Amino acid sequence: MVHAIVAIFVCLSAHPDGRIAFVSGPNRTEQSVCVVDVATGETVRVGAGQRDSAPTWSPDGQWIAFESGSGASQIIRVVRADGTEGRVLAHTQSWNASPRWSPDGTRLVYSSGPMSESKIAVYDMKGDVETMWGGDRAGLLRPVWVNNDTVVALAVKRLASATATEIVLAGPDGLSPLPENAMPSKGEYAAWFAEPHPKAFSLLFETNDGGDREIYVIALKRGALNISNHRAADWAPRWSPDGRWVAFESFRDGRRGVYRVNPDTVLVQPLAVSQDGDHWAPAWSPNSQWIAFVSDRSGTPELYVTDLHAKQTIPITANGQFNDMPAWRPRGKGK
Amino acid sequence: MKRAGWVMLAVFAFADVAAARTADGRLDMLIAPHNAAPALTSPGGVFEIVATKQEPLCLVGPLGATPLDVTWKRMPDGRMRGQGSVPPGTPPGAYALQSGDPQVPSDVNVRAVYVFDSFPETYVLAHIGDAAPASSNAGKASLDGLRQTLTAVQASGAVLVFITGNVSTDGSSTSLARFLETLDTCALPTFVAPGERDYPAAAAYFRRDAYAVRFGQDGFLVFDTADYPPAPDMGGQNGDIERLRRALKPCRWSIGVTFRYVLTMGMRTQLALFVDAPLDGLLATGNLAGPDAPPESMRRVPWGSTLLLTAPSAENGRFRLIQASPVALRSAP
Repeated sequence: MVHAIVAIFVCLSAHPDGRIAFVSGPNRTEQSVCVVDVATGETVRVGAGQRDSAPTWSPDGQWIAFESGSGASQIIRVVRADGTEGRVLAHTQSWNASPRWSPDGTRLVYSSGPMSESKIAVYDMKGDVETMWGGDRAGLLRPVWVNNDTVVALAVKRLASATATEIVLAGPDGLSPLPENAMPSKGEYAAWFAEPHPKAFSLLFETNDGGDREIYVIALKRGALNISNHRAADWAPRWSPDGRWVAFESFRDGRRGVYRVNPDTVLVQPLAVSQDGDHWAPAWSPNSQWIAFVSDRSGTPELYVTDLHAKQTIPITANGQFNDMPAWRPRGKGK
Repeated sequence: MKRAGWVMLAVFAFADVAAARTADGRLDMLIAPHNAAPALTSPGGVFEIVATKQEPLCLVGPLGATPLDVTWKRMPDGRMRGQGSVPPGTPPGAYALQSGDPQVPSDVNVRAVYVFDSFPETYVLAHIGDAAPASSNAGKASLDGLRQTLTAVQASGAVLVFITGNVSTDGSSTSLARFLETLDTCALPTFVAPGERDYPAAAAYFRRDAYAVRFGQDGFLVFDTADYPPAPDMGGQNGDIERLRRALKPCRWSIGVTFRYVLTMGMRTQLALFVDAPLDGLLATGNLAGPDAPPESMRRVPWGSTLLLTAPSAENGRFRLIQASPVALRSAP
């Protein structure tokens, strides 16, 4: 009881800090990666301003990787967080998406090639070498590191009359699909947004199994558990860094809102919901006490931060531009 | 007879109406509906209005001005959203939406509201793709071509016209304004999904990322492709598309309308439109491989049951007619 009171007091009295990478611009085509200091609001533009998207921090908080346009191609750029240094990865394919840093910060993984032909590309930042993981299988999307040797990804499955996806674990030499009996039920469904637990052997993902999009957790002893369970669409789940909560987007109250759920109790709590606008793209602070998100309730998409109980919501941007895709800088070394 | 009536009504309706939009063709006070995204309704029905401020509104048709009863609500960005009620007994036809004093209007959107006395079970829609080829000297020629295409469409038996971008030769305001002028030679309801070349200027001329249209039992979900990857995973458009798709679920046929379908389209939109609640059809310019692929192809998007209905480039006056009936959605004979 005392702990709970102290926790609430700390949460309400504290102010979020750190830095958030996001994209911002007058329109989607000219969006650029920026970094904002949450405490001061000071913002630095670090991106190229060519359809920049999906910024992701290196584990040490020194670098940001992101998607960027280059003519009709999409490439991955890496910049230092203060914008003083940057590079473009040497790709073999013209379409590259969804970059993620390896836990040791030495490599990037991303999908390379259009949907049906996409491969998992792993880029060694020191050697400047791109290698393909997952063997001969094509149609591999949205890879995320499980550890330094394995990624989890979505694999497109061609069926006689339709297309579905399955979750696969991939390494340098090949891949293996998650066993069918680990999934919620047998059948051809489209899983998406697979995210490994930050600390335990557990996997979060969304699927249309059951008729509408729901969020599931697969844990070793428990099997697959539906943790969103609502007739409206629930999607885009993200673990909190301490692994206790899952933030996600849902339409359960009419508009698109941000919610959190405890995967053990399956108790869902709204964080940012309003009938005046949509709220999306939740991003956890490194201490799991704050969540950044985007809302268009002012008329244009702006960044906000709220605490775990949605008692204190703080606007981070108010520039009237298109702001999106917040990513909170992890606890790393350096400023 | 009915078709000739529509054309005549449209000609009468707009003969005395002042020029719509601003001088260079951008949307002004009245943001929706307009001539590239009109409201389809019936006597006694309602339709949605978006305006920068609240003013008295009326429908202007061949019999003069009819005041509208509007319920207004302020939006978070200060604009006003209204529900306009079409008075019972309003004759079917095309109407301009006009704001302010009927004698001294503050703004007019021509061909903004179409009133139908009934919606047929079987009907034909026309689909025009790439109305403006990207040739620096093609400006006037392409507009003449589009005018001829629209004339042919009106003689074809179609009751609705969908135009999937690009609609400008170079994305300039001048080119977009000329396109809209040409569009107004068509008496039928015209719905435009601009292409990537039309942006960013197109935002001031069309103003909607995604919207839904009901025509009788059927629903159309029109979404733009402002960025190179159509319907990218970033931004609020995905949420709008999910919400609009859910709203159209009870429709007999639910049909998407966009510039193009390509494999790099945002995955969130693909899941919403082709996997979780598959559209019955998708009208798009070109096909899976883009606008260079054979224009006559009719293929399915790879996810499932959605029929991809592609239109050839409007160059040389080409367009596609599609028949919607109780049993099928298919190319019209």
